[in-house]
Amino acid sequence: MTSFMSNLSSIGPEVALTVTALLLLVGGAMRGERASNLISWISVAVLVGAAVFGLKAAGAEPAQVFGGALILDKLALFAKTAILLSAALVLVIGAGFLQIEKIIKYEYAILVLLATLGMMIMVSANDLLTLYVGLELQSLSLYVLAAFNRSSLRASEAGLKYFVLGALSSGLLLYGMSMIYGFAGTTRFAGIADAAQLDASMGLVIGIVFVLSGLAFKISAVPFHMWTPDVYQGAPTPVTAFFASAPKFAAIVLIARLLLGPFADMMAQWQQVLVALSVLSMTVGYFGAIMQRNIKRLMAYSSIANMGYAMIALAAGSQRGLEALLLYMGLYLITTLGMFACILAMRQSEGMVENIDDLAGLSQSRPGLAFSFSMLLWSIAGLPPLAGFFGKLYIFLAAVDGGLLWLAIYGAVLSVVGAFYYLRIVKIMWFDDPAPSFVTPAFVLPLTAGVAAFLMLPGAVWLLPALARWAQAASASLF
Amino acid sequence: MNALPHILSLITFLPLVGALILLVFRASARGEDADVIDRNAPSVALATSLITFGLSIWALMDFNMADPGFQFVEKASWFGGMSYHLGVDGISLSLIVLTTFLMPLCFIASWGVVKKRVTEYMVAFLILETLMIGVFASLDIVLFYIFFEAGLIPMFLIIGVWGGPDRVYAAFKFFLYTLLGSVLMLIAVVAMILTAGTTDMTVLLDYQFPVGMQTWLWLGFFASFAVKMPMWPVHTWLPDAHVQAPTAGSVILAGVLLKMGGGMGLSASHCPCSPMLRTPLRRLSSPCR
Repeated sequence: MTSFMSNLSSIGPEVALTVTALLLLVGGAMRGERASNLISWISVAVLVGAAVFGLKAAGAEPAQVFGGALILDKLALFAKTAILLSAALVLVIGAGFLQIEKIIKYEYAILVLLATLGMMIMVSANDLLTLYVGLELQSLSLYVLAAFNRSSLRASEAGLKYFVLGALSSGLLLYGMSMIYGFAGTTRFAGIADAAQLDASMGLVIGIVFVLSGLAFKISAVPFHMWTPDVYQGAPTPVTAFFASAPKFAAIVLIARLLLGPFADMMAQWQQVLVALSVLSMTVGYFGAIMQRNIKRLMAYSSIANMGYAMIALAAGSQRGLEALLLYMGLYLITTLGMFACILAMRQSEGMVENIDDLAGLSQSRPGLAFSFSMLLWSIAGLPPLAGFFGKLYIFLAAVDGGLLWLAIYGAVLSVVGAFYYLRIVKIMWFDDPAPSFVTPAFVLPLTAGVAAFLMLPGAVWLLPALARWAQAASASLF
Repeated sequence: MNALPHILSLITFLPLVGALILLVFRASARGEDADVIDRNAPSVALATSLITFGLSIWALMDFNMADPGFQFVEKASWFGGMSYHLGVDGISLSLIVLTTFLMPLCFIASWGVVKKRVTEYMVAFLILETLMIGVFASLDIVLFYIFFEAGLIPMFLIIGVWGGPDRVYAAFKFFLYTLLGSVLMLIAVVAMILTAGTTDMTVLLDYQFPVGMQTWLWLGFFASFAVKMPMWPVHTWLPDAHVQAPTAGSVILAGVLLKMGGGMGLSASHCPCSPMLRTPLRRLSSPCR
């Protein structure tokens, strides 16, 4: 019993999230919609508190808990901090939107809490079953969130589409896991690693391909990306911001932990799969975005392309690769959330607008917002001196170091295509004549965008070394 | 003359300081104040560029012509092996003086000609000046690449906002052409960093890269510089950019940006004393020796 209690205390942040979610659910049921705001802010406080205090206390040294089902190391710590903070930020920047659109319900914040809990379990998974439980907790919460605006046809469609395809991917994942279990005789990562080292049998290879397919759905890698544009467009914008940030981070860290941990000895097999996924994702992501008029669809293609980039780093299969991946994804999170803060500020007097053309002349009507948005766009396009460039630089370094020279060249050339469509938004904001002006956004939106933009340029002088050092420490835990 | 500490940083970032001051004033001004700022922005920009020019002349006076190595070196390590590393030799200092000399002329050329968004125009040019000087002054290859490529952003805005009737097309063409060349150079830079294990140009200069690799590295750099110079057949962006850019923009394009490709990139490689296909960096920043 003591060991159970000590195990429990080492996952304090997860326990805190669980307890809060359950208590808030009861509170919400009793108080009804009036409590929505309060619940939302309590959730933010718990998320931030867990990130700042809980993780520091819990993850001081690497440990396996619950008989090896969960692992707490620096990698998990890095990922959890990023996930918790971005979930909190999503709640903060989304609050105004939900209130104005009158779709605020107390379940919203609780679902975000539960999804976050799922992600925390995912990045700590050290067993196929833990992995699956975490993934499903996250996915189920996200299905509901996608369809959160029940009265909207698009949102319902998005939720349904996401659910059906997500269920399919979970099926693939489970099938692959059963193959791995069948051939390795265990679901523990350590045991699988032994089996893979002993004999990379065909069964394991098939299993790993299925598992990768299932996980590729979650990071919307091509050819498993079909749901992404529709869901991004249909879901309420704060939910889209959530989709684009934390779950992507969690899923890709999970893939990294799986491939570089138990399957490290089968790199020759999975590397080809990742290279193919990466090439396809970059191609579809970058070319698909060119024709988009809707900014949320554009963000969907942008995230597909960015995941393709992240997979370059993963395919390198080295510590340098993992380090690059973490740095890149950290910067991606900051940039994406800042960009969504800008998108959430796109509100004219009649309501939200989502077309890129509605941004026309923003540099004259709202210069501050246009400036921040442009900085973020340049950063995600990978232009120096903005921080996004260093993410790309690290990925290229890892790829060339890992013998993936052609993949790096392909990614570099395609980033020019990416620059084109990011730049088109800049062009609309700076070169075109002003469209009807936006109403004054809630204070927090320009603030978030501004802080994110600040971190991309002058702040990058401090942010980048800190992030790089942290990513290096985190990546060392798998090697 | 007495040596001024950190003179290279001062020359490099002084225009940026001017730009930031203008930007802050412009962002906080409302209504009539904004007009006042717009009226005075050209003077501020001209003054900044003149001081920068003066400082670069000071550096020139201070420069020891007998020393073929890098002078005014400043170094502070950053992260991932990269460092903030500045220094000039004879070639790069002369290009810096060229840049700082052209900038006041640009501001005089734009005096009263630019009617809309005057402050932003001055800010873009001052930022561009910082980036151009940085290209010539940096001794860290990543820092060099940052300055080299970052210049695209203000130039894109200058052509696109203040250009002629077909400015959007010209701006995009300029940007995408140059970027495509530059990313290939980035891959070459990455390969060099990995092979030599350092981003320090002074070390890279003397590093013996394998002969087969040198060809590829050279091609990577050539892709970027050929576009920037520009050479046939990747020259087609230049007529568009020149015609559409505002006059001062054309001055900078012809006077400095093209020299980044030509002067820094390739011409030095045909120095008789520089063996063909030695490391591209030899051509980047070292004098003939």
